[in-house]
Amino acid sequence: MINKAIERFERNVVRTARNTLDELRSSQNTFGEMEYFYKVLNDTFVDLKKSTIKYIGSYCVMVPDEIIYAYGYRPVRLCAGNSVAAMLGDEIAPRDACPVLKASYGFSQMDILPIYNQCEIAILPMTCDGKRKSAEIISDYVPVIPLSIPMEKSEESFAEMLENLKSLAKTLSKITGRKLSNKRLVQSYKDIHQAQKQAFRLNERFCHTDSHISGSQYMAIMNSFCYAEPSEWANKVDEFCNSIDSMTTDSNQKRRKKARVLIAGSPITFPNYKVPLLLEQMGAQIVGDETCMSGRLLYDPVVPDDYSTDGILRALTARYVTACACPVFDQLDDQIYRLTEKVKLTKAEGIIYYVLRGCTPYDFELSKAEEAAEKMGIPLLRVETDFSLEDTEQVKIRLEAFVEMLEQRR
Amino acid sequence: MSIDYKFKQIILSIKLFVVRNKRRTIISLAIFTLLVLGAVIFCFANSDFVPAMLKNKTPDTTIILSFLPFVKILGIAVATVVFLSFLHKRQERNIPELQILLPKEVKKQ
Amino acid sequence: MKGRKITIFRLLCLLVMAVIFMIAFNGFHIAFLIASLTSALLLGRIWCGYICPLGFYQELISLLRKKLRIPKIILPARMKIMLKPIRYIVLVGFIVGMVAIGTRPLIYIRPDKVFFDSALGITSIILLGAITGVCFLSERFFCRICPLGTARGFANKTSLAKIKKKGSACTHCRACLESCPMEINDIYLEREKENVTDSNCIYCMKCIEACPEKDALSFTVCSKTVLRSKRNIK
Repeated sequence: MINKAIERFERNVVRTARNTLDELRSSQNTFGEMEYFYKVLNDTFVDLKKSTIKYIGSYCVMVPDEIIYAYGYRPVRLCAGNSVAAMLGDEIAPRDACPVLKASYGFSQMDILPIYNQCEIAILPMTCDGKRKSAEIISDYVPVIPLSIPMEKSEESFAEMLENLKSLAKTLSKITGRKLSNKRLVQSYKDIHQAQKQAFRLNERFCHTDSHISGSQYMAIMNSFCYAEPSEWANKVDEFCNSIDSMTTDSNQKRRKKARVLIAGSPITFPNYKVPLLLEQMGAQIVGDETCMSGRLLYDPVVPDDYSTDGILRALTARYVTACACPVFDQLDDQIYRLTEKVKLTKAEGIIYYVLRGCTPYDFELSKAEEAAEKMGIPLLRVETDFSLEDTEQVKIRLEAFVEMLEQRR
Repeated sequence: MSIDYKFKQIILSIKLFVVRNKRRTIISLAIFTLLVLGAVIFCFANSDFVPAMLKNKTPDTTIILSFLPFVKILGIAVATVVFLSFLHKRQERNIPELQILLPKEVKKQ
Repeated sequence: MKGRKITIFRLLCLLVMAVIFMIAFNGFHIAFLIASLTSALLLGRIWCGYICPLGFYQELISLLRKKLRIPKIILPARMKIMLKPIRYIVLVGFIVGMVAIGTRPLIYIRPDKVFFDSALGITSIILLGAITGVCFLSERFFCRICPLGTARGFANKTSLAKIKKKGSACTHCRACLESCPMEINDIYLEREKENVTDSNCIYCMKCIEACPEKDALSFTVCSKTVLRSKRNIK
């Protein structure tokens, strides 16, 4: 690849991220406290700020952050959402592969993002086909530890996964030369537990009928957790929740209520906020988020029975794998129950089911989600798209029609 | 549904169960009969059985308390704990490590 | 680990009952056995969780283990299934012993007397020591094989106190099963039925304390909800 082409790619990567960030900043209900979260995303994706932080990257949400934290490294999610990086990754990955993987390959090859440069190891759970094959491709850029995840949720699978986590701890000890100390593990559990508590508080305020936060803002805050320091993030979310509580609610009463929409489906990572931003442009209010990189990222808490290393590892396995609502598992009951409960809780009037082009597991879950939506008596719209901005107009038209239909159904 | 119908249903299902599990039914009936017969014979053999059952046979006034048995019990408990922990640790040591895929060459263009 | 008000209340109940037993009872009385089994008919295995001194001492050594951050030993699923009949064998042996040989288990009322009894035989010492050791590493191990407990457990299905579960609110996060001292699988797996009171359940309420979902698990007495699960944010 000639240097000029690479430079253009790099410029465009930064430009895409900056555009999304500007759009987020310009939406209504600006809070001073949100600056911290925008800054995290800015430093990571726009300004590309270098630092001396050593990261251990993980793909997918099934790798416990607490273990990485306990070894003294900062955990970071390497699942990317940049359309320009996906274009570069198109050269490496097959055409029908998931765009998240393509973007990750693109970023790995470009080598400009600090979270990829400063990454010492990448842990890759072998969940879907794409991730399994990615192990070899990504190992060209960074040492990769493939983590096998049993696809059933039985007792034997739990014991197997617990053993896999212990193997992971052993392997990390071997590479980093540090031991897994019980004190640090308990401390990292407590820090991330604080973050989970604050995320739950934020979720309560977001799902409220008179919410002051817009869906895309909520997604940006939750997404920024992947790139921020957990205790600092938790404190900032705490301050944010407090400031929301002290706000008055009469300003919203006079205006006509917007259509309430829940987003479910494939992960929506920054800066791929095409669908949420379009929805809000069309006049809908996103009241719930069942995607794994924002709404579900910190939802379940880790509940250890005792504070021994074994006890905490058991709790981590239970929370990160057994409670995970990803459709790669063999049974889809968990996801459908949660979707139903979320709709009841948020009083959503419609569901937007977002499927990334090439993501088969979510496509399979779609038919069950449609059944569930029919039982609840609300419409479900399937939106299949990838990262590129070429089909923005078509998606816009469909979303506009959907929102109109919701408003007419009232 | 009438009581007659339900009754017939119950009888039929019992018949079906017996036909399907003939062997199991015969063996369990035999054991049950033997147990009942044995209990009855035992009761009649010990004629003062019922009063004996109601008697409180604890030598509660003659218990001499001392620390020694407690220390012995504690010692055996500690030994059990150490033994089981040792087995557990040995099992943990046998857990294999995961493979690590390393970059073959520096791939920066 | 916070939000354990119910456990603290329960431990106080156990402590008070242990003290009352030490003051009031000096020996075994058959009336005691009949009374405890009759109470089981109303409320199932609630004696095991709130009154039994053996349970109290097991809880104390489990607290010691948690303080020392020693992990608990959990058997793999297959072994558990193979060891299931042991409870019933022990129950039959206990009944035969009570009726035919005349054993009167003082240990259920005054375990402190039994542990310090100088006339304890060597087999009893080894058995008591081994069981204590296993109870240290596995929470409430004796309660899983206790004959009186098994007998009371038969009445759990019809007891007035029930643990209820709302299947749709459960997220399968496994917090309940991990904290359950009797390792009851149904509390975690069940999604269809509402009544999940297993014959092993001692009503310790640890599952309700651990459950992070609102109203997923609840404890009802005579169909009136007494306790509900909720997320602990403070």
